[in-house]
Amino acid sequence: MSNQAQTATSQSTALFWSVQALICAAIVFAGYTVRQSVNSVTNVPRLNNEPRLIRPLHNYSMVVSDGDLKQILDKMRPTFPSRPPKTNFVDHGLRMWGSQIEFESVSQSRPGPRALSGQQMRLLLLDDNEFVRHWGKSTPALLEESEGGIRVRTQEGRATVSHIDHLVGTLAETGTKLNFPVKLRHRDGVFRELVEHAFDSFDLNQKEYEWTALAWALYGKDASSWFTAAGQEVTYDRLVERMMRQGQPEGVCYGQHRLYSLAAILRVDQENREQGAMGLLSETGRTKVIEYLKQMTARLYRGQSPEGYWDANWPDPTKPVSDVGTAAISRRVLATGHTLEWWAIAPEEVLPPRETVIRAGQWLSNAILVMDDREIERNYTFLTHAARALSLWRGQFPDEAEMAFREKLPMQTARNPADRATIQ
Amino acid sequence: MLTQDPTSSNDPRDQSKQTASGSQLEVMLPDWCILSWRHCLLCVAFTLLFAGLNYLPLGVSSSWHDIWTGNWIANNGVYDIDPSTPLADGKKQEVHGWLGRVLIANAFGKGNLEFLSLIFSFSQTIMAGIWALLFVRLSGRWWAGLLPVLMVVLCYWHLDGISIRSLGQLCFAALALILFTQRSPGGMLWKATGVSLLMTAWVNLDQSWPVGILLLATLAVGQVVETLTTKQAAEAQRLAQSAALRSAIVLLECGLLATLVNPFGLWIWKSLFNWGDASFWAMLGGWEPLQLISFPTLALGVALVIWLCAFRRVERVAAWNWILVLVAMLLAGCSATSVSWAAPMVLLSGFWMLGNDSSVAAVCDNRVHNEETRKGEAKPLEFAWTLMCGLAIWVGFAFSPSSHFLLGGNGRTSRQLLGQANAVAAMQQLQQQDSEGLLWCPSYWSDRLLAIGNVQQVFANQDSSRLPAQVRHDYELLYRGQSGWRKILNRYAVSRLLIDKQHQKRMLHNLRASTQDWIKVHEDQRAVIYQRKPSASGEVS
Repeated sequence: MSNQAQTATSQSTALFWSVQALICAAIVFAGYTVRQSVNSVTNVPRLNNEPRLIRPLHNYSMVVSDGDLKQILDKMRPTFPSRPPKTNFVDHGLRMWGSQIEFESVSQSRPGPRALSGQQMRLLLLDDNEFVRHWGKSTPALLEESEGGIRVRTQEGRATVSHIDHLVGTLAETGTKLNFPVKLRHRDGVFRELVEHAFDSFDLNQKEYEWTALAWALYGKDASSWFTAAGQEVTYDRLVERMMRQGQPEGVCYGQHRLYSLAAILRVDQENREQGAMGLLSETGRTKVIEYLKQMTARLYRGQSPEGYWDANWPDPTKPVSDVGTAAISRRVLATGHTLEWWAIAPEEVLPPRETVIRAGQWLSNAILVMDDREIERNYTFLTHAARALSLWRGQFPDEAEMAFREKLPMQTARNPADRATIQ
Repeated sequence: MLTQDPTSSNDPRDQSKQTASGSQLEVMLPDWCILSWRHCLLCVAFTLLFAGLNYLPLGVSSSWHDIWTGNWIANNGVYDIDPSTPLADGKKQEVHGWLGRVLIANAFGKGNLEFLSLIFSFSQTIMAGIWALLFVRLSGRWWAGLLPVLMVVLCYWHLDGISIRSLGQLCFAALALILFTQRSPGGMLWKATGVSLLMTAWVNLDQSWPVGILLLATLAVGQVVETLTTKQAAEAQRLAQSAALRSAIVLLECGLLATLVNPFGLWIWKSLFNWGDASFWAMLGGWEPLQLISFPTLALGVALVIWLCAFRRVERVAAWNWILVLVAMLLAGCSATSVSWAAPMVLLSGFWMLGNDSSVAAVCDNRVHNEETRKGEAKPLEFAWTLMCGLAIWVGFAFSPSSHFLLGGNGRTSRQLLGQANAVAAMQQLQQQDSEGLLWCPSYWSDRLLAIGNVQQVFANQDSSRLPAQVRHDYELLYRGQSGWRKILNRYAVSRLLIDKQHQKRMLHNLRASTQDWIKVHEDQRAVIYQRKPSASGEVS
């Protein structure tokens, strides 16, 4: 081969391989970039450090009188006679009373163990040292290190919480910031890790989802969507569709928590819009939720008993009660208390006539007032919802009402429980 | 071609023909038309394959999913949310093979089931034919043409009726034909054009197009290895290898560029990098290791035996030969459904090694038989096997169900076309009911229900990779009728149930024992339909 030909060949070869090197570099760069963008989906929504607070909208003194409410709140102090206190009770007690409540002395009307303060209850749930002090080292920790954050042991006995993400929902409703310190058995952390785990392990079709939805509504920075670990995009519209999908009374507490979470999302959506921010729901989604809640209210209105309560078969009282294993009074307190609770935060347009609320409130307060300590303890979790609902219908959270009673209002003379009609 | 009293010739064979036939009419065809018993055997095998495939019912094949999605795309455009499975709402939907789906849906719309069956038989026979042609040409051995028939039969269970996958396999065979057919020196341009056009078609017809890229990449990598490992070779050899390497690289680049000609552009490549359970790899078959005793394993085993036999006969194996086998084994090891890609790859590599220039040239020119003929005396019935081939093809076609298009007569009944696996009567019953609400039925029935428009939304269809893991888990639980079934049906607000009496005995037993929520509205020998009882307030309970 001549020198000229050899030079031409080597030039051609050099050009070919230079082009190939460029192409390879471009492919590798594009591949790396694409891989990042395809798989980097947000598994956790964007969150605010401080949760929103959904304040009650009404103050109807006909629902519950000051005196009755004072007595009810007194009965519902978190004294937890059985020790160590069930985690489920502490969780519910904290939700009702909030983290700021202090009970300075033993209640004069109900002698017994001193009530736990809000801070103590929160520490019992978030500080393993405090948990060990009550439950001992042999009990597995309530909070566990887990992939995707910190897992809360759930439905595994007395020392654990009763519903998926209930604790996260409770702490959201009681204003716990995401940077609140958390102590595990072997390390320290922050509350954000619990919340992130809740979202990381969330699935739209999981059995219990109401509290995760509530936590998202309260901590969510905006209406932007996120992806579950299964790769499903979660939007508020999709979430509310899921919550409205099941028939009633399917779901926890006869489906009432679904209604509470829907009402909460609706409120946050409304408040965002009023502040000029983007709503959580689309117009269609918002209309659907309002229509759904109106339908549920209509069914509750039609199905209310003459006494004022609802039972486990609240969507259709002509059907037999399915939950026959639970005492009738417990079922009725549960259904009625939860109903009044979501109505208390719901917008005016989905509420029933005022008379319906008043009848329900009066039945409920009478029912709680005649309960003895053993009944209170047995039904404590249901009753926290009921007592909170009654307080909300007076326009205040229970701790605010308690403080108001302490500082301003003299205790009214309560009627003798024996004078009341027997509660069915 | 017929001619009378052919002109005299110096060829002794022509003279003998004249002697034998005198002034009678005689066939005058070129030599390559003189076929042998080997050709006839191949003809019979392929005809039987065509007829056999044509007799198979469409049953619960993935054709129905392609028909439904094809119709949807034709009417509404390419979608990113599958409207038939609301439980997958929000999951990334990667619709590959839009053109293939539309074509299959149109074929169903134009010709119904029998036409689909005919297309399926044709596509598989043509694919086997391409492989046979290639294997015979590469190896120079006639029996190699029978192996594709065996492969189709052994891998049939993963083909399951006409689907975009069938079209992908046809493209794969065509790509191999382009790459491995002996061409003139100017063939590079032809190959590059062919590869580009074929990859453009493939990327729009089916989601299996990366298999083609894999083949092209294997050849390129093979050439790189070859060039690197022969540094001591003569300058001329190195230059030749360099030219081959450049060709392989250019072909790969043509193939890669062609894949961008699709409605999604670069996005189609993005889906390769999605590691989620709806990823492209999951759609190719996902992680489903090959079972030791199964038809696909047998197919791969046969291919490997042939490869090993060829391996023993050659002194040096080209790098791409063993790289291709390694890639094929990796594919088949990850997914049993990939054997239909892997087995031809192994055979391709094996037959390439087995062939030599003389045997290949002989078989390409049909010389083997003609030389045999010349050795003996001239035979007046030298076209006998050609006629036998024609007869075999005609008989095969005449006895196939699709012959009624040409020969008249009655076609198959819908039960024969759909087979015993389909709940035909129950599906007709569903058509008469209100189509609102979510229907739970076995996933193998869902797509047909959607395709014929009996229902709007189903719990799960055959494309289960699109469903979230929780939904898949709950589907399985319901299919088996395990405890908690009632709560799951409530959780998903299922309004109707179509139960397979043959495979869901436990679920059926549960439903028969439960009269409070569900009422039976239809029962036949194959299936039962249950509907949720409405409550007094009008809402389903």
